[in-house]
Amino acid sequence: MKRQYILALAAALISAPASYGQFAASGTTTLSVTVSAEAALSVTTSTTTLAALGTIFNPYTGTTNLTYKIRTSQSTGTGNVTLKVTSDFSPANGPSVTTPPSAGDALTYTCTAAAPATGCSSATTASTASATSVATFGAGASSANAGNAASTAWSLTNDPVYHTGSYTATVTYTISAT
Amino acid sequence: MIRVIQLMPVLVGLAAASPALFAQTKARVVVPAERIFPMATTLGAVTASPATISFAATDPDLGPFTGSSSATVSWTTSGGAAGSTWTLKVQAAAATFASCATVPTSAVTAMCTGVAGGTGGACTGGSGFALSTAGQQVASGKEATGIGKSYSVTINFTLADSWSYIAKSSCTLSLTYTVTAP
Repeated sequence: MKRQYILALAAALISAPASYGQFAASGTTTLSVTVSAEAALSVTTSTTTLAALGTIFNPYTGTTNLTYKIRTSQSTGTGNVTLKVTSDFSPANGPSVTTPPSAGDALTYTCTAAAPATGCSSATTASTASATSVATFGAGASSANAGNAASTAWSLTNDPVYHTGSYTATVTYTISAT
Repeated sequence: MIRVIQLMPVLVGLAAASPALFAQTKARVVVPAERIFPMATTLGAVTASPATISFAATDPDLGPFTGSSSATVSWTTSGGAAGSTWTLKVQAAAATFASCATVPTSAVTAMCTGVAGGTGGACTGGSGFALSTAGQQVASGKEATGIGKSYSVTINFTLADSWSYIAKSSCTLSLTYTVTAP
């Protein structure tokens, strides 16, 4: 009987090799990320030349191109691009944003901006006193990694009282996101 | 006397008919070599520390962000065989972070930086690999023999930030580490 028992056990082991398969065990980690609202822009037209073309005393015009990058918060985020004339035209006796030589003289601009931005809807007068809107963004906005395009098309009154010469002003663009 | 005469034929008869009963009888089982299986290694619990690794994705233009800590995956074996190879794999639970569908799992790169325990332990994946929902090998090595032998693998994680991610906090992704030992 003992012999028969041993043989039976051996047979069971031989016929059940699957019970010797690999053992595995596992553990876990949680990765957590906080994606912050962020924005950046690059003015790709470092110097914009305003030139009067066509009919005499046509406005001086030119375009400044931008590339913006942005991501806003999912449900409550906003974003905007603004500009401000941080240094008025110089030298004197030419155009001026702060103190135009004639009533109606102005530096104005219109905007274009690729989605998800919404560009300014109408011509806007630039100011040295406050920032004015170029584009706005809603919640959950995100740009391409390479950035999206936007631009401002400038128009400066061509006033006969301006003395001839070259005048320079500085405009600062700002982008923000929440 | 009569009893003796009656017993002798019985004993003689048994000896002639079943000599094996009187020889050294030890059970012997012959098993073909290909049917012999070694005893399996017993794995202890696999633990990963810390439980949570955080990233602060603050600016995509600043490049990848390193996690708040490396992960250390630890376990033990008992009854291991020196010639047997263990492997550690990592697998993400989903293709994107929970609550942050714009952040893909593949944005996280895992890189093994150290292996301890057993013999010949080595990282796999070179300079790192993007996480995915498929199990990917992190490290492997030979088992240590004996009881309660400890192993650990250190893994660094980096997150590639992107402007395409929607800003949000508390985006999470669960990773599962699996140790296999024959």
